[in-house]
Amino acid sequence: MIRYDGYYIEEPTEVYDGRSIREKSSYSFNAYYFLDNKNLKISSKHKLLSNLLDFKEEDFVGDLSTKKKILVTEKKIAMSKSFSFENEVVFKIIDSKNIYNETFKKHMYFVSWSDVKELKINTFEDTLIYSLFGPFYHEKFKAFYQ
Amino acid sequence: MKKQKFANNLKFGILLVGISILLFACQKEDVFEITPKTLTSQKTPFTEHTFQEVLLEDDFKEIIVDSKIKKFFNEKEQSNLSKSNTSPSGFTVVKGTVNKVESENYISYTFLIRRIEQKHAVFENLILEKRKGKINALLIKYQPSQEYLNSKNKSFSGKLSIQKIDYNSAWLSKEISPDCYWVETWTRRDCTVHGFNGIYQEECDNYGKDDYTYSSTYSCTSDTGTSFDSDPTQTPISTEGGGNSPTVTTSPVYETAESDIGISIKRISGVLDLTTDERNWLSSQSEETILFYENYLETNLSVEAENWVAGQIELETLFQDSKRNWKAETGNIKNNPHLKYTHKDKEDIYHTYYKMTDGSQILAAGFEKRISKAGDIIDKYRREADLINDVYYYIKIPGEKWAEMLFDPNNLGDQLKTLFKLAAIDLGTNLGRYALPIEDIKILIDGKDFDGQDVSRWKAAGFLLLTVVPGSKGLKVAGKIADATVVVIKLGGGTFVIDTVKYGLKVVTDNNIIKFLSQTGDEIARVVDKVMTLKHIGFGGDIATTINKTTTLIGKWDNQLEKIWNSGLALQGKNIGGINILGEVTGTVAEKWAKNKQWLNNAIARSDVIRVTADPTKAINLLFTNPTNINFNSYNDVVLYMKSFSETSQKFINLGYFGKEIYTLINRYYIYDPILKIFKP
Repeated sequence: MIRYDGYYIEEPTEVYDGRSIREKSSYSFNAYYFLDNKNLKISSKHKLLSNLLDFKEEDFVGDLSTKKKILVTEKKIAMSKSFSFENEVVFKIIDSKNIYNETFKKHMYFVSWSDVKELKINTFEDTLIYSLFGPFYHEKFKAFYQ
Repeated sequence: MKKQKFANNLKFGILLVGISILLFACQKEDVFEITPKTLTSQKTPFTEHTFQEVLLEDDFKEIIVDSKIKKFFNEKEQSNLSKSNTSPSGFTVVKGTVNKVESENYISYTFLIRRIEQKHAVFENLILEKRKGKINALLIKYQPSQEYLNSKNKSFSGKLSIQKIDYNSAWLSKEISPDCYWVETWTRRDCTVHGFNGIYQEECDNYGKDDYTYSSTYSCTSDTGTSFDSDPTQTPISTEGGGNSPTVTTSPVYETAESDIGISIKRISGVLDLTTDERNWLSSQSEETILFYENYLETNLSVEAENWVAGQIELETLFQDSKRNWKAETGNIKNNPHLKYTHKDKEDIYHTYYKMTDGSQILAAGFEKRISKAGDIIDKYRREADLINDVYYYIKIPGEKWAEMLFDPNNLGDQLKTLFKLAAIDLGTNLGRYALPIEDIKILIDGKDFDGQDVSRWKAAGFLLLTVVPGSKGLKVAGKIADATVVVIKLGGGTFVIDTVKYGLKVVTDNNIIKFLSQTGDEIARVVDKVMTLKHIGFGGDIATTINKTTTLIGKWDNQLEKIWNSGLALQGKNIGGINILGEVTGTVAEKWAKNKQWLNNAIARSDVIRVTADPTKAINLLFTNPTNINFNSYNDVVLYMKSFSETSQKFINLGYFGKEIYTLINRYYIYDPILKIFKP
C-alpha cells in the first residue's frame, strides 16, 4: 500500500558540470507524489548541496512537475507513456515507506507533508533529504550536465 | 671661564652663519638671471666687423699699441689663428667676426678665441674695452643653455665666468682692476619676413627688422690678476650687489662652423617645418637618433616619410615630462582590461596622455597626427560607428618608435583586417607602423615588415607570422615560420589570431596549406583557401568553417567542445570565417544558462552556421535527468518533445545546456540538417 499524504524521494544523482569553474559537483533529486492510484506528479531539483531544500507541496503545482498516469497493483506501479518514445518505468512496492524504481535501480523513501511542515531548517544538513541521503560521500549515481 | 665659554659660543655662531652664507651662495651658483629686453629704436647696441676691419680702426690700434697682447693680432702670423704662446693652455684669437660695442666714453671689441682643448658647446671671448680712456681686457667663458645652443636668435642664457687679463700697455693707463662686473650680453635676432630658418619668430616685436635683446648678470673673478698663460677659473655667478661695479658690454661671438649633427638637425627641422619645441627636442637627442631620422628621410624621400618622422618628433615632444602634468590614476582605456594605465594627464578636451602598466605611453588625440595614413581608415570607423567623440590613439611601446594604435574593442578580426589594409596601402613605400592591443600583448607591425617576398607569400597563403619584440610585450612580423609565436590567419571574411606558445601549437606550411600541430606532431587543424578544418573524431567528424559566416559549435562540453576550446582555435562570439564556442561560464546553473542563451541568441541574430558536435537525437545528450525514461527514435521525436512544454516547466529544467540549446533552436523554427549536422534557420 503506497501513501498519498506526501512524496517518495529517489536516491540522488551527482551531476558533474564541466563548464563550472568552481562548484563542478551538484545533485539532482526526483520526488514522486502519488495523487491517487491513477495519477503521479514528478518534480526534480538540481542543486548545489549548500542550497539544498526539501520538496514542498508547491513544487508539484502546475508546470513545475511532470504529470503521469500510473497503474497501481499490489506489488507494482507502472508509469504510463505520454509519448511513443518514452519507455516503461516500473516501481516495486517494498512497503508503504519504501519503493524501488526497477527501471533506474533506485530506492525511493517516503516523506510526509506533516514531516516537511514540522521540520525547522537552518542549514542544508537539517533537511530531510540530508537525513535520508547525507553526507553524500557515495558516488552511486552520476550524470553530466552539459 | 664664562667669558671663554661666551667666546666659544660666539665663534660657533659665526661659523654657523658663515656656513649658511656659503650654502646660500652655492645654491645660487647655477642661477643666471636673464633679463630679455627688446630695443625698438633704430639704435643698434653693437656692430659686427671683420677682423681686418678692426685692425684698421684707430680705437683698436690705440688699445693694443705696445701692449703684451699686440702680437696676438698680428695678421701675418698664421693664416687664420694667432697663438697666444706656445703653451698648451694658451688660446688663439679667431680672425673672424668681431663684435664692437660703442657708446659714450665706452668702446669694446669682442673676439672669439679657441683653446687647444675646447669643450663641446663651450665658447670663449676676449673682450678689449676702453672705458673713460682706460683699457681693460677680460676673458669670458660661456656655457650656453640648450635653449641658446638651439637658437642663437635668443638672448644669451646659461652660465658664464669672467677672468681678468694682465693687460700691460706702455702708455695707456690700465684700469684699476675690479673683482666684479656687470656683464651685458647682447644678441641680434633676425626678424625678417622669412625669419630664422624660414620660421616665424614669435618673440620678435620688431617684425621685419633686426631686433636686439640682452641678458645681464653680475659676475666676479676669484683672482686679482690672471696672465694669458693661466687656466681660467670659473667663478660663481651672483645676481646680487654690483652697485659700483663697471659694466662690460659685449655681444657673444660664437663658433659659426656647425657640426655635422647641427647641420642634420637644421636639415630635418627645415624639411619638416618643426616648431621651436620640436627642434629643441630633436637637438637634445643622441647623434644616433638624429641620424636615424635623417637617414629615414633620405632613403624614403616621400611625403609619407616626412609625415612619419614629423609624427614621431611631435609625439616625443608632447610626451616630454616637462610638458606633462602626470597624475596618479588607474583605469582602462576603452574598457579594455589589458590596457591599464597608472598615470593620466588630460591636457584639454582633445589630448589625453596615459602611462600604461607595461611601460607603454599612449596619446588619445581628437585630431589626427601626421604619423601615418591610418586616419582615413579610422575616419571610416568613426562615420560607421557614429562616434563623434572618438579619438585617434598613438602608442609607444618601450624601446620602439611611436605607432598608430588601432582597435575596435568589439572585434579584433576587423582590427586586423584594417591593419592589413593599412599595411597594403603603405606597402609601396615601406612606411607606417601600427599596433594592436591583443590581450596583454600588442602586435606591432612596421611597414618595413611588409616588403617583398614576405608580403607576397603572406597574401597568397593568407597568414602572417608574428614574433615577440625582445624586451617588450609587442609582436612584430617574423621572418620565418620557426620564429613565429603568434600566427595571424586570414579566414574567409575575417582574421584569426592565435598565440601558439600559449596553446602549445606548432605551425607548419605546406604550399598554401597551413597546418596546426600538437606538440606530439598530430594535426589539429588546417587552413586551405581561407577555410579552417578542425580535426574532430566525435559526432559529425571534422569541422569546417564557412566563408563570411561565423561557425557556432554546440554540443557536449567534456572532451568535445572543451577540447576545441582549449586548442585556442576558437573564439567566443562573432568570428567571421572562424569558430565560435561558448567558453567557460560562471554562476549558478540558472545564471550560466542565461549567459548561454544570450550567446546562442547572438548567434541566431548573426545567422551563424550552427554546427552540432553531439547527436541531438540522443536523450542522454539532451537530458541530464530522465525520470520518464525518454528514448528518442528520431529527430522528429525530439521536435515533438521540445514543443510540448515551456521554459518554465519541469521538463525544461531536466534538460542540460545542450538540450536547452536544441530546445531554443527548435522553438525558433530552426531546421536540422542531419547530413551536414547543422541547424539552419
